[in-house]
Amino acid sequence: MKYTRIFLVFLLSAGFAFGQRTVTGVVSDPDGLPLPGATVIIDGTTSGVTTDFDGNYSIAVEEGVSLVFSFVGYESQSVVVGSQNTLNISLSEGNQLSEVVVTALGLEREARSLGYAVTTVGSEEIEQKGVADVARTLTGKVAGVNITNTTSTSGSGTNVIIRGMTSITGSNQPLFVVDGVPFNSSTNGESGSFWNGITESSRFLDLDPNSIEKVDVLKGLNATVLYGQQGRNGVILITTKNGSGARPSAKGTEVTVSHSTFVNEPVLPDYQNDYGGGFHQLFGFFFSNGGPNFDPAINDPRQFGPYYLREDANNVYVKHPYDYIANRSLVEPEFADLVGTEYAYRNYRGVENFFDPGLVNTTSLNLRSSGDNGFFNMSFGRTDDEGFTPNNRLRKTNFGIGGAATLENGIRINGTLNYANTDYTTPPIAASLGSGSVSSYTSSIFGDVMYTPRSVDLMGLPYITSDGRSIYYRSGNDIQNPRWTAENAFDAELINRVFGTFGAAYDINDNWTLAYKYGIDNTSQFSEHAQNKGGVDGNATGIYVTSDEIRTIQNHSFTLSFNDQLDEDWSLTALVGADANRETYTGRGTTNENQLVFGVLKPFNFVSQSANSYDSEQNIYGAFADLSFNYNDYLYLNVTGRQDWSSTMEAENNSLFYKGASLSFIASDVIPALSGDIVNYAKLRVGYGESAGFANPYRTRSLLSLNAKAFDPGSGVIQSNTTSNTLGNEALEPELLSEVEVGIDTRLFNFLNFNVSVYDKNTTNLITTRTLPGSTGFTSTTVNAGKLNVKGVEVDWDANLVNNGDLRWNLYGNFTAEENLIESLGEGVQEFTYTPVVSSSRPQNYAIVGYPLGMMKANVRQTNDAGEFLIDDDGFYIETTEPELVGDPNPDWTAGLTNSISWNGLSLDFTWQYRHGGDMFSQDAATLVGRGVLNPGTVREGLYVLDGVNKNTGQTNTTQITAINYGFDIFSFGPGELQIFDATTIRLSEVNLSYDFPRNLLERTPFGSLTATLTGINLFYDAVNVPDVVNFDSNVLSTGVGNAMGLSFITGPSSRRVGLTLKATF
Amino acid sequence: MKTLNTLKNNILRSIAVLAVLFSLNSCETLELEILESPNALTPASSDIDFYLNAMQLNMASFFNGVKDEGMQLTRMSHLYGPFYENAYSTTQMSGPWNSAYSNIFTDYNNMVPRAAEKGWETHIGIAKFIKAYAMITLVDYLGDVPYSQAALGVENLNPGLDSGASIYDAALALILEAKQHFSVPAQSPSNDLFYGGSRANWSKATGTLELKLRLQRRNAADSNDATAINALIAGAADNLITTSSSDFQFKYGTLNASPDSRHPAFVSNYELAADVNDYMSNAYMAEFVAQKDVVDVRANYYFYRQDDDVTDNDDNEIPCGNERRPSHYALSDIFCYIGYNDVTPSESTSNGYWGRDHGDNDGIPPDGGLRTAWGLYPIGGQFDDGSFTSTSGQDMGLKGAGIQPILLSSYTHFMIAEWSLANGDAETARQFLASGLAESFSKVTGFAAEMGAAGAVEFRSGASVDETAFLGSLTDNINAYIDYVAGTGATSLWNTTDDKMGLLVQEYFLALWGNGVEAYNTFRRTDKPTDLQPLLKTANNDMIQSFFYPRTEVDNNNQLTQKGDHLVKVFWDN
Repeated sequence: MKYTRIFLVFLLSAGFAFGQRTVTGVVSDPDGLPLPGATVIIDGTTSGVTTDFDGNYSIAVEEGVSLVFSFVGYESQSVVVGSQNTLNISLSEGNQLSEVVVTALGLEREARSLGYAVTTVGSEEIEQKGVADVARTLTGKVAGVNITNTTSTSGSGTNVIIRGMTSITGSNQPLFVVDGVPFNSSTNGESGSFWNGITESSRFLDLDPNSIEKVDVLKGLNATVLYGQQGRNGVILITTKNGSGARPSAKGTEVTVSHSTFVNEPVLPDYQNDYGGGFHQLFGFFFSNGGPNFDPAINDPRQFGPYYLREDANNVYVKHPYDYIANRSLVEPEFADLVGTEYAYRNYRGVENFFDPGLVNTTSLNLRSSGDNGFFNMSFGRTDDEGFTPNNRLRKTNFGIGGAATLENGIRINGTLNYANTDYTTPPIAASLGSGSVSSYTSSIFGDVMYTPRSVDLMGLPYITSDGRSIYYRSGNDIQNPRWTAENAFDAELINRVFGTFGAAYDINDNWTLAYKYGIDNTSQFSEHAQNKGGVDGNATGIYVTSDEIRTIQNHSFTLSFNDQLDEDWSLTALVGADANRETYTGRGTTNENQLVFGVLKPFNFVSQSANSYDSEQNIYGAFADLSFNYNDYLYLNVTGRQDWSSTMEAENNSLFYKGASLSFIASDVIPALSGDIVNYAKLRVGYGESAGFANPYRTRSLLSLNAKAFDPGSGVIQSNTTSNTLGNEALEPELLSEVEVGIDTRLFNFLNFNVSVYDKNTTNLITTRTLPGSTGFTSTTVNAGKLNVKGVEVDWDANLVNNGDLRWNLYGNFTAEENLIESLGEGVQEFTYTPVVSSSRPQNYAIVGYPLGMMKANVRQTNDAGEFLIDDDGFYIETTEPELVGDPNPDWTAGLTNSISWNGLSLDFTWQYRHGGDMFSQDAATLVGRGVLNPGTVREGLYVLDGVNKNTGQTNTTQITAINYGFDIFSFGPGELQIFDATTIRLSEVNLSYDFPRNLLERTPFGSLTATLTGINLFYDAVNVPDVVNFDSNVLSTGVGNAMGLSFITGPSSRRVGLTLKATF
Repeated sequence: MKTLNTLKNNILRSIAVLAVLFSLNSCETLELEILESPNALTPASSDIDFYLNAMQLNMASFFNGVKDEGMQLTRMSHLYGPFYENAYSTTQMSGPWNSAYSNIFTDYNNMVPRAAEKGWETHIGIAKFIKAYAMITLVDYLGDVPYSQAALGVENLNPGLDSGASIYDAALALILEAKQHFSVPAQSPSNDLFYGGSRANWSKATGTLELKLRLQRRNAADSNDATAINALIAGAADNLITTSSSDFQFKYGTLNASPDSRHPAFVSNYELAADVNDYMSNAYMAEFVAQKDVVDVRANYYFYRQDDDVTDNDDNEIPCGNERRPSHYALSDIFCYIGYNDVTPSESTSNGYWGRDHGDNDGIPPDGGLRTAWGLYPIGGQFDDGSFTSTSGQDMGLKGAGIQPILLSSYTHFMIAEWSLANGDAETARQFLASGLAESFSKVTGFAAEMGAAGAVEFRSGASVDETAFLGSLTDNINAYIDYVAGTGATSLWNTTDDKMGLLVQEYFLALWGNGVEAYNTFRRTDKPTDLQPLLKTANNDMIQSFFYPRTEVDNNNQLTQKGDHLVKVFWDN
């Protein structure tokens, strides 16, 4: 049991105070740094103590006994107590073989006994990284875990996929378990709109990375069987400092304070500075940057046509854009003083001036007090994360307490209680094809700002009229001024969340333990989507959408565990238990349109209101058993099984049994050749596991849609009801997943740890939201259709290159490759798309039999039988009407490499990440280049002839087109295949330079330790096959959290963060 | 050491504590039957009138979903193209397809049996009319489509095709049944959005739909059709929509939110000031203002000019302004704008009718406040008083209270004219052409009054059209027009043309503004007119004969394979 060992230590350490001799000393690492929390146990007993913060221990013993000193990650050492009173011990590093890791249901197991891979990430890799999202701090640190930011907007959602997607239309996001109970990590869809999902944050954002003790990632199904269907996409086990009994400090109180300040700056494209707005080298107040050169010595007055006024040595002056605004009420009388004035045609650097670096301030405080019978921990965290986009901000406050105690009767209890307040707001950042947004529901700030022509005085021109209307430079005023958007439109989420646990355990005797754990997680979210009246995109009359949501998860689990040495060779650890999980959701929303008074965003200020609601409840409960046999500490067999029942399926299909088994064999303990100087340690493991997937609620019954406000012919609103287009499927069955995992863990040459896992995962009976042919009378249903296979290889390694006292150099790396294949989609179905259509020439993600999930199809160039492109009389490509395959968004492989160098108190570590292959659609790259704000190396004044044959004549094409046409009509808005790029990316994802102030310096201060760290996140990246000037970041996903892949519809700049952290203990 | 007793006590105590904790929510936690969604009603709780409302609204959205394509192909509105083969993707018909099957058909299947139990004959008649209209139109646009196996839900997830001819027969049967339903007094629908409960008008609509169906397949021999058509015409006053009081049209309102009840084209063109979305067709506008020696007053109601002159704008706003006429454009074809001078472009003239040529797929310049917009009729926009000001937003004109003109009285007259002409009776044809024109003019000029907002025919200060002169000469202009086109005089177009059918269909098109369904069908049925503007990029006139099946249908229905190309004809087209 999770706390058993710790509590035994506490419990028993009290009993040795009389009659014996006391031995004291310091336990340290090879560098002499003290190891707080190391255990000192009298061999052959369970009595012992732990070291305090300075590594000191004190234990009462009798002469002649052995003391065993151990600490996670270090080689244990056994010393016989002689006559000395002081025993200073230096533990040697690197022996992770006896490391204890947390597995499913919080069970602690020796790493060597596991038949599957578990990766642990410690707090130092998570805390104070200038990123408030715990998932993002794990990026690239765990083989097999793929983490994608949706955007770099502060607070935006994060996609987490472990070992590939196994469901086409269902969720592939892993289960988060915090302090032993399931944690809501969903992305609540306030807008319900696919294209606007990018504005929504993921609820693991409510965790404070600084309060996390460690994260264990369970990747394979064998590791997650005990979690049932909830664990089918992998489990991220988070142990918070409040919930952690694993590393008690010594008796007394310890306070840790840290504060960091980061600068969050946007990585903008490398804009060109020579040309301004227009088309075909002719000036115009257009949204394209194909106008004349800025230099009056180079340009020609004729290029300015009727706009030309005069020129001096620096600039040409043209008529003011407000002369041309068609809707004169925007301009006159308010801006009449600008009408008729001259406007300098020059480079205003509008985009660069629009964005401002934001500051990210994070403060955290942790207080821990331990005593003989338990501990108490309190944590507080505050983050204020300003985005680089105006009015994008994330504020978080976290407060938590936790503790554990052993009662006099031997019952051990523990509990945590956490409160999180997350306040996030951003201007609308919905997917965009160019100007405006894909969704008619909202505007998009990035879509309107990123390729502002260089000659537009974005920050100088008025952007709002006194009655609140957006005004901009185009005559039709058909682009919403991004400055107006930043001030007048937003999406916001306010979360108040309480989550906690209560646990009780009792050792019936030395072998039997009974335990119960209760978890509650209550998220209350208030979301707003708003835009004042006077805009151009979205609702011009003003819109204010509110949504109140409450999601509650309750979890009970009972376990009875058994642990005994059966005979000389065999020991057994067994567990039986049951758990019940209940999740409820209540959502109430209003949509308010037609704003009365500009600027007031409250329902009373709107003429029309409509309401909506969504409720759901879901119960899942299960019974499980887990048997682990240990033969002589070198052969371990584990067998697990679980039966689940779900409330979301019809009675005949609502339960499923699944099972797992694994074997771990420490070959080096048995085969002497494997424990020499070349191979120091070798473990072979094999595991098999299954899991289930139940449908989401309410998929089995057909519905009637009622519309209380269907239409108003002018005489009052009428109602309608219509049979829902979604067909219920009463025959729906659970889907079944199974996985075989084989691995080897080795230590070589006494400095290199090398672990490999290979897995093969199959899903059958996939629960899939299937598009029905409309002629059936319905448009979609939920069916069991399809088989999907994921195979993969994961490698983790680390090498201790230099270790000579003062200087240490470690390398840590990981490698992931996975291959996903759709084997079947059900009878008669060869393919379908699971993302909505934006426009026929833009790609969608498809599920196609025989291909990996997510293949992108879009319209392409027409070709003749010889494969030559067909060209029309104007010299352009001809687009097909049927989409063709244009790209595979799945990377071939990814890898990470961390260098960690330390010298005395100074340490430097830096992490590289590499993604090889995988295609991405980038509207950003296409339009930025195509609209001429970047210079990718083409000659603007040049003429181009496309390679191909004339469709009508069959002759080789000789028709010339201009560079502007080439950029705009072909590269930017031509067939979708031209906007697909290979997304191979190299990235310097993290650099930390830190200094531990020497202890002797701190002696006269209240500090126990003081560390300063300079951190850089995402300092450099290069998507090598995308035009360099775009500075395209492949770590984006325009469609928000979900199963879409490789789609970037103008997601805004990437974020680079640099900051300083001070951390002190008292 | 613990005694056995304390051990037992502790176990019991802990079990008791746990049991209390668990029982707090155990009942609801263990409930397994949570299958009915709390977020919707069950089909058993449906309301027949609500179903009928849904069907009527779907009739309007179905029609709205097909009308534009028909107008675009017949040059009534602008087609982006650039070629027929890629003018539309295979998703183009998804909307109307799903609207027909998964809304109209499914609701029909659910509603009719329940209405029958109650003897609500009018409800059933309307449902049959709507279903018949949707079926006929699907055949007209797509050819063979699923029918007998359609809308059966789980019973058939892969419906096969029925022949277009057989679906026409089935639709005719529905129409004839509907007529019977309308002949008996019955409970009125709570909301009859078309006729306010008038069974007589429904009966006329049904007769007109029958006429339309039989006329449409006149080239595909059916021996009964001639007799039936003649009988319908003989009793036209009772059988057919002959006056605008029985027009079959869907009327929109002015409410802009919750629910937005305005004409969809009004919303997309007038929602924002100076941000018109659609392009008018140059060739179509020219028919009203440049091709005849008489004034066609409908131009002021159909189109709203935002700018008085195309020629004074720079080339990037009207890119074709510096391009040469394509070699396959005859001099009689409109190119770029009305008044474009090929020989000396700088001497071009323009009257502000700013549209696009057929198949012009150029990017969109900032001309949203310049190009010509939809006018007052039929979408409920602004009357063109020659003020030449950009649209000012959604408070203009009829504020979106327009109509979908599905079967209007003028259409009946044109159909009868065509039938007469096809059967060699040119004089009757001329008379019905003349009366069709009269119906069209009175409908259009009286439209604002019909919608209860006569003031929407508005002459603002600065208008270049003089109110007194315009309204004072309105009747004279209309009569002169009718005389010029279809008069008995020797110089009337009718009497001077060799191609009477071409003239008739051309005039029908001018009356059909807002209804591409009849235009597209009539064009393929008569192969007239023969001189429509060609595609801008090619001389090939491989016009779309039928639309591709929706991609999602082909991908998910194993009984369906996609057509080889866009040249597959529907059964009546030969």
